Amino acid sequence: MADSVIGVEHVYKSYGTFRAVSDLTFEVKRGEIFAMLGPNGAGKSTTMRMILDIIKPDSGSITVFGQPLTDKAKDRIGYLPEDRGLYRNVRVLEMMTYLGRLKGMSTQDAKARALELLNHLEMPEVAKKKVSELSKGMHQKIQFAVTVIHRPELIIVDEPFSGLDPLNTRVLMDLVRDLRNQGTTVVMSTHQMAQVEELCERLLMINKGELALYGEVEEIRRRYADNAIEIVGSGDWASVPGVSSVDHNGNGRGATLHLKPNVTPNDMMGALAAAPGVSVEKFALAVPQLNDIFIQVVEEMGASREHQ
Amino acid sequence: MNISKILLIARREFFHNVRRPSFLFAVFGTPLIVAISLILSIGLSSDEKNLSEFAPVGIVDASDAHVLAARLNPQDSPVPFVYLDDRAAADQGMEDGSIKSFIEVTPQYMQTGRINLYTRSNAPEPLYDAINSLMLEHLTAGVNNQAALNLVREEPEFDVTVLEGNRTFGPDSIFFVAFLPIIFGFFLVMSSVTTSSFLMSGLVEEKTNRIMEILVTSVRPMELLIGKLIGMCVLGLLQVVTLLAAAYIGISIANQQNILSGFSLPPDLAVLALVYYFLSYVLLAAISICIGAIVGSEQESRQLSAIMILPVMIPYLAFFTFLLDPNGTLPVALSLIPITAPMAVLMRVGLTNVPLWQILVSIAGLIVVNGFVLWLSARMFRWGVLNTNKMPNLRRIIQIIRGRAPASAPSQPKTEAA
Repeated sequence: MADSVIGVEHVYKSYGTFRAVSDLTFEVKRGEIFAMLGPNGAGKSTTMRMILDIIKPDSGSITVFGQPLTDKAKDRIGYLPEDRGLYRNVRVLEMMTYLGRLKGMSTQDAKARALELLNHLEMPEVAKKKVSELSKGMHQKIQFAVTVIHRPELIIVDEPFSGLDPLNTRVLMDLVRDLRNQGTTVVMSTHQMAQVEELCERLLMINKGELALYGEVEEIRRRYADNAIEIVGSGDWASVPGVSSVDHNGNGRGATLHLKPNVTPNDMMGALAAAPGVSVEKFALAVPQLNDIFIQVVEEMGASREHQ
Repeated sequence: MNISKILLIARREFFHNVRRPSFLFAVFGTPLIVAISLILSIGLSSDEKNLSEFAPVGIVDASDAHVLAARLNPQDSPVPFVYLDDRAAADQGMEDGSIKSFIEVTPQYMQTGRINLYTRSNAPEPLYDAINSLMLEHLTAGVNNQAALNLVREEPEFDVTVLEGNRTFGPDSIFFVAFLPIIFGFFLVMSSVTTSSFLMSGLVEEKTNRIMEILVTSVRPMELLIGKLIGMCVLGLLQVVTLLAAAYIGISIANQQNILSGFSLPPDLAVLALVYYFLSYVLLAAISICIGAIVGSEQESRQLSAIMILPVMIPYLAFFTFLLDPNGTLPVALSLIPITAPMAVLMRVGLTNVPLWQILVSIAGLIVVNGFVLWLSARMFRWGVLNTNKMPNLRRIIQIIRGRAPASAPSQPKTEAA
């Protein structure tokens, strides 16, 4: 656990009679981008708040930087909540400086870092503007800048890209990647599975407060992979020995070949090479999208509960 | 507790709110209103009317040289003089109202030139002028008395005593003596209402726009609370000091113009004002925090703050009772009830001499109640710092006070539960 930045063990949390988190255990490793996934109301935000000591768990233990969270350690964390806002009638630079100073920075350092971040986010002109004068996209970029103004070792961001246009999403994703490359650990919650596939090494999926999936992104995708291959080319795929069924993709040249139970992708490669009238331009294992896995897991858990 | 973060929050609260137009109006607009009132007063007043509150003037000649033995009563004097045999007769005259003020020429008058003047309130300049003229007339009657002539070259020195007891005012000066203390007390208490309402709206804004969630990952809720309390308290003190300064400057100017001579702010009023401001601010701020903690929207906070202001305003609503009988049952009772005490006492000090025990009891009561409400506000703030849901019902509020309320879900519990 030496490289563990966050350790969550058997944590429970209820609001009155509603159980928000139940027996949750996971860890976040130093320097990784870690995704927290789950449907609305799954308990992601509650878990983040418990990690940050904003709310206390009913039972279980949480460590941050190897020990229960201390006041001093809070200054090493940047947090972007899901429902977020800014002081509206304050100038951007003044507000960023204040929030930086609350994290232990000097006025000079906070101001310099705020200007550096505004430059990095290609919006230096907003420094003297009031927050209320900015667009929604600018708000979100500034909220992200506030989260990282004090160069935290760990950032916890809840839906950081929600509501952003693709261009701004790209800017912030690049910033997240830069931070990771500089050694920052990032925990992010999102509904955008493509972003998880692109950015994250590992993930935790929670459903109704319970752990549903946990591990490396690629390993999970392989775990949920069908015995199938993605192929581009021409020919009568269904006639190839070992193919049980064929799903044609939109353009007609691509298809997913579902293999018979005892046929491996290697066997299929040989079979395709030997099949008459078949031409192969691209051959790859069919790995499911996280989105499909997400839906599958949630539906399976729902069905399992109904069954019980 | 991180003191530097507390001070940082206090500084931010102060500088953010001090620039608010509503605060600037309260600080500068209020003294302006007082100043305009004074100007209007000047226009409505005259020296003769004020002098009538001090006439007839009793004369007791206790001087060894019997300088007033001639008992002259100049025709052109603006006030009539009544010659009395001794001090006892003067006291009796004040008691039965046959005289409104009196002078006592001291035994060593020819050596010291000192005269004791007894009034029920600060005397206007024309009264001094009238007494000077009277003395001059007597002293120059025997023009060969060189010592007397030397004496009249200089004006006499007065030792002025404002007599104890309920102050009495002529009907023409009611406006000054009643209106200004009421205005003064009103604005002082409104100052604490203003600053505590700033505190509450800031708190609710931070909760509803969710910046609170970011703040509590940087500072402890209690540090945030204390920082806000300090910042807003300094803000309110600035307002009070400005108001006091404006009041003293205004009254000095008015007195120099020989108006408002029936009115004076007791010298310890500034201290009382600051003490009552501070205590009333802490009380209202703590109540504001309680409200800010449990409400989920600005609309709810506005409704509740209106309810909070009502009891504070009771003395103001009963100001005719204060005016007619400042030591009556209702004014005294309101002076002893913590939430009404600041305004009630400040209104009364301009009208009467409030007994020290009443001031001490009201201050002690405020301190005890403030301690309790602060404890309550800390408990509510901890519970509701991230609560943006509907206001809890009375049963839940009692649970919060007793520390038995379940945790408040910080966001959309209905969605989570769905």
